[in-house]
Amino acid sequence: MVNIVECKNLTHYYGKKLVYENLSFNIKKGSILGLLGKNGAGKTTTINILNGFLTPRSGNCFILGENSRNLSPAVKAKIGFLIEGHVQYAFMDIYQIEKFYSGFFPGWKRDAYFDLMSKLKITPRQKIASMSCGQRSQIALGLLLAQDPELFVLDDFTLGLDPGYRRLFIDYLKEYAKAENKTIFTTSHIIQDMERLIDDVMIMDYNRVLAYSSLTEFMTSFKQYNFEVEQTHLPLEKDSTIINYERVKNTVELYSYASSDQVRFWLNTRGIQSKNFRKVEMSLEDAFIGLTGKY
Amino acid sequence: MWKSIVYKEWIKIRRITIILFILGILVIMGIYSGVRHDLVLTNAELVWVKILIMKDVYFTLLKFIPLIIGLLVGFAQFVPETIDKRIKLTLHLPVNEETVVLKMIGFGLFSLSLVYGILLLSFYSLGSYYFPYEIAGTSLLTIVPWFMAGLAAYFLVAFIIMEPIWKYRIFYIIFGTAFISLFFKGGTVGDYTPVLFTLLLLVMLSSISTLFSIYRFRKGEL
Amino acid sequence: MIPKLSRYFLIILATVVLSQVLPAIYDNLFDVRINTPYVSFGAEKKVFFIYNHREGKGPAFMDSKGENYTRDQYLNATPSENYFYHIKNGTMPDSINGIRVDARLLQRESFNQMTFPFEFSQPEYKLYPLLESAPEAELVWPKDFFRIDDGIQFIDARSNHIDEAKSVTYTGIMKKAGFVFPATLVAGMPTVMKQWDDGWFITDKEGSLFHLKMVKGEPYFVKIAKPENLKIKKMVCNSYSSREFYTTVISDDNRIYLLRSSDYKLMELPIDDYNPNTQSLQIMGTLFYKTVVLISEGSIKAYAIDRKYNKVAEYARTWPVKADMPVGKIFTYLFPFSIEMQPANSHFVHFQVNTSHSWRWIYLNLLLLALSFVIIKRQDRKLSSNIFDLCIVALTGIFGFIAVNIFANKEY
Repeated sequence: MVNIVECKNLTHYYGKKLVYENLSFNIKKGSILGLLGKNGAGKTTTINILNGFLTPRSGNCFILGENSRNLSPAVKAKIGFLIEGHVQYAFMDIYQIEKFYSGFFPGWKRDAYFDLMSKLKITPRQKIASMSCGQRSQIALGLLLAQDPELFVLDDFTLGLDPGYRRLFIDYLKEYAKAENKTIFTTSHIIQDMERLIDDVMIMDYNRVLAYSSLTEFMTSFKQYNFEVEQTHLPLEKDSTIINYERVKNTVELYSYASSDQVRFWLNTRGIQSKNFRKVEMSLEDAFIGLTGKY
Repeated sequence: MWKSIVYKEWIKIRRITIILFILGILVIMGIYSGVRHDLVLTNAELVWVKILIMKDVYFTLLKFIPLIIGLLVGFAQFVPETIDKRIKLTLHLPVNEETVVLKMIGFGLFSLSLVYGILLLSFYSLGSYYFPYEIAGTSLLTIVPWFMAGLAAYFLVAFIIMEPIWKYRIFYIIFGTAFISLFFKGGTVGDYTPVLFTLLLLVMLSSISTLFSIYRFRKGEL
Repeated sequence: MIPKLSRYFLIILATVVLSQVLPAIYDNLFDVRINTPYVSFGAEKKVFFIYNHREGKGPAFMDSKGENYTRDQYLNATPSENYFYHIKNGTMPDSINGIRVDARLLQRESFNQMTFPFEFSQPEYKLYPLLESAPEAELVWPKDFFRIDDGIQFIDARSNHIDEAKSVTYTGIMKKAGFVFPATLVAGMPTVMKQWDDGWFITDKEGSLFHLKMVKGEPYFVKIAKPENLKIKKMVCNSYSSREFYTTVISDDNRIYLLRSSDYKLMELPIDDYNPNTQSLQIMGTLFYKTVVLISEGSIKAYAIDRKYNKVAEYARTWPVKADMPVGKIFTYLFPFSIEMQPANSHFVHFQVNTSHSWRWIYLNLLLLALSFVIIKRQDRKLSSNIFDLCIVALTGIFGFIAVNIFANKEY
C-alpha cells in the first residue's frame, strides 16, 4: 500500500506559541483521512504546510514523493485543493472559471463539471460573487471533479452549507473517491459529516495529537461510560485510564480506552460508589467532545 | 497555460483599461482642441511665442493621467487576487509560482504599454500636425517621465497589494510615493531628457518586486 | 534565487531614492539664509562699495578700504551709480570726474546684467523668431519661426508649413557669406518689450560667427571677424540703451568678451578666473566703469574695468558657507553622499551624486553596521546570507540601513 502523503516530525510555532511538535502521519492511497480539532488547534496550519503555503519550523511533508516545500507543477496538477470558505475567483462566472482552469489540466473532464452545474439554479452569466455559499461549494466540487486529481485536500469543505448541500457533497465525493481510488485529506468542524466520509481519523488538541487511527478502531476502543453518584466530592482525576470526565448533577460521564471492568476497578480503588454503571454508544461527535472536552 | 492566465487577467482589467484608455484619448484630444482653439482665436505666432519663449506648457492636463492609469490597472488586477487570500489559488495552479506571477505582471505590462504607446503616439501625431518637430518632440520628451511613473506605479501597486503584512505595506507605500515623486520634479519642458535612461533602469529595478511579496507569502507570512 | 534578486533590486532602488529624499528633507527642514553682499564700484571715489543685509538690523554699507557708511553717506558718494536718488532729491552734480553729466546720459550708459550657471545647461527648443529690426512703430512678432539645420527654414505658425521661398532666399544669402550649416549656437533676445531688435548671433559648424537681421523686410547677414582660436561657448544678448555692445561672448576657456556694436570687434575683459559652472556673472555698466562681479556660494570677486578695458581695481571677499556651519556639519555626519536631481547649475534634471567632502559619516556607518550585526544575531539569522545587506549598510550608511530593514531578509 503506497503512501500518497507522508509527514514526519512537523513542528511549527506562531511566533513563540507552539502549534504542535513532532507531528507525523501518513495517508494511504485510496483512503480518506479526517483531521478534527478545535479552532486554533492547527488544522489550517497543517493544510497550509501540505500545500506548500507554509514552511514548518522543522519537519517535512512528502506528497506523491515530493517535498511539499517545493512542489513541482506536475505534482500540483495531481492535487485538488479546496480553500476554506470555498474561496474562488468570484469575479468570474461558471463558464469563465471552467475555461480558465481547463487550460491547466490536460485531462480536464468538462462533463463532470457541467453535470454538476446543471443542478444549479443560476442565471447563465451570473458572477460567482453573487451566488450563495451552497452554490459556490457546488462549483468548487465541480472544478475538483473535472480536474480529477489523485489527492484531494479539503479545508473545512462543509463550512456554511445547509444540510442538503452537505449531504450532497459528502455522498458525491465518497462515491467518486471509492470508485476511482482517490485519496482525500479533509478537515471540518461538522463532525457528523466527517463520520459519514472518513476512513481514518486524526484528532488534534492544542500542541498534540490525541488520536490517530482508523475510524472504526477509534470508535471501538474509545468508550463512554455513564454512572450515577451521590457523593458530593469525587476524587476523579485524569490519568492513563481516565481520559476525560464530566459531572452533571448526579450523573458522571466518563471517557476511557479501558474496558468496563478496568474502569470499575479504578473507581472502586478510589472509593467512588457508582450506580447504574453502563457503557454508552457514542457518535463521532460525542467521542470528539469526550476526548477534547467541552471547554 | 498562457492562454488561461491571459484570459483571467483580461477579465479583471478589461473594463478599467478600456475606460482609462478612452479617458486618456479624450484628454489628449481636449489638449489639442485647446491648442486649435488658441490658434484660431489669437494670432498663431503668439501661441508659438507662448510655448517657445515663455516656455508655457500646453499639456499639463495630461500630467497625472498615466500615473492614475497605472495605479488603477494595478488595483483592478491584484486586489481580486488578495481578497480572501485568493492568491493561494494562483499559487496552487500547476505552474511554477514565480512564472505565473511574472506572467500576470507581464500581461499587465503589455496592456499598459499598448495603452501608453497609443497615447504617446496620438499625442505626438497631433502635436506634429500643429507644431514643428522641435515642439512636438520636446513635448513628447517632457511627458515620457509621466508615463514611466505610471509603469513604476503599476509594478509597485502589485507589489504592495500582494504583501501579506500591513506593517510592511505601509513602509512600501511610503517608499513607493517617494520613488514616484522622482518622476515629477520637472520645472521646465524637456528637462528630464538627460536622465530618461536612468529612470528607465530604476523602473526596471522595480518590475519584479512582486516576486518578493509572493516569496514572503509562500514562506508563511500570512 | 529570483526572489532574492527581486529583494536586491528593491534595496538598490530604495537606497537610490533615499539618498535623494533624505538629504532633500534635511535641507528643507534645516536651511540657513546666507546673505550675499552686493558690490558696486564708485566712479568718484574709485573704491568698491559693499552692501550687506544683516539679520534684524538694516543694511550696512562699507567700502573696500573698510570704512563704514550710512545709507545717506553711501548715496552721496555714488552719484553716477545712484543718479535716480539724486535727481529725485535735486542733489545731482553737473559734472562728475570732469565730464558734464545729465540724467539722460547716465541712464543711457547704465546697465546691469546677470548670467547664472544654469543658463549654460538648459533645454532649448532651437526655434527662433526673426523680428523686423527697424520697425516703423513698435516691435511685432513675426508670423514665422526659423530653425537652422542643413539650411535655414522659416516655418509659418498658422499653417505649420515651411515658407519655401523665404527659406531658400535666406539659405542662399547665408551660404554666400560663408556659413557652414548647421548652426551650433544661436543667440538673441526675443522679446517685443524693447525699442529695436538686433537679430541673432549665430555660430556655424566650424565655429565662425555671423550676424543675422531683417531690416525693412530685407535680409542682413554678415560674417564677424574673430580670432581663430576663440571658440564660443555662449552669447548673452542685450538691448541696452547705450548700444555699446551687442552681446557678451563667453569662450570655451571661460574668457569674457563684449562684441562692440560700432565695429564688430570682440573686446576682451581682463578676467581670467571666471567659472560659469560655479559662479554667476554680473556685469554692471555706468558712464565711467564696468564692474564685473563673480558670485559663488561663499565668495564674491569684483573687478572694475575702465573704458579702455583695463582693470583698475579688484575686490574679493569670502564668508562661511552652509557646509561650514553646524547645519552643514551635521549633514556630513549623516550622509556619505547624496543624489541631487535639480542641481543649481543646470535646469536639466540629473542624478548628480554629490560625495561628501569629509569622512565624518564613517562614525554613523560603523554604528549602523554594528547595529545590523546585533539585529541579525537577535533574529537568529545566519551572517552568511546577509553579506549583501551588510555591504550595503557599510557603503551607504543610513540609506542602506533603512532599505535593508524595510525589505526584511527573514529566514524561514
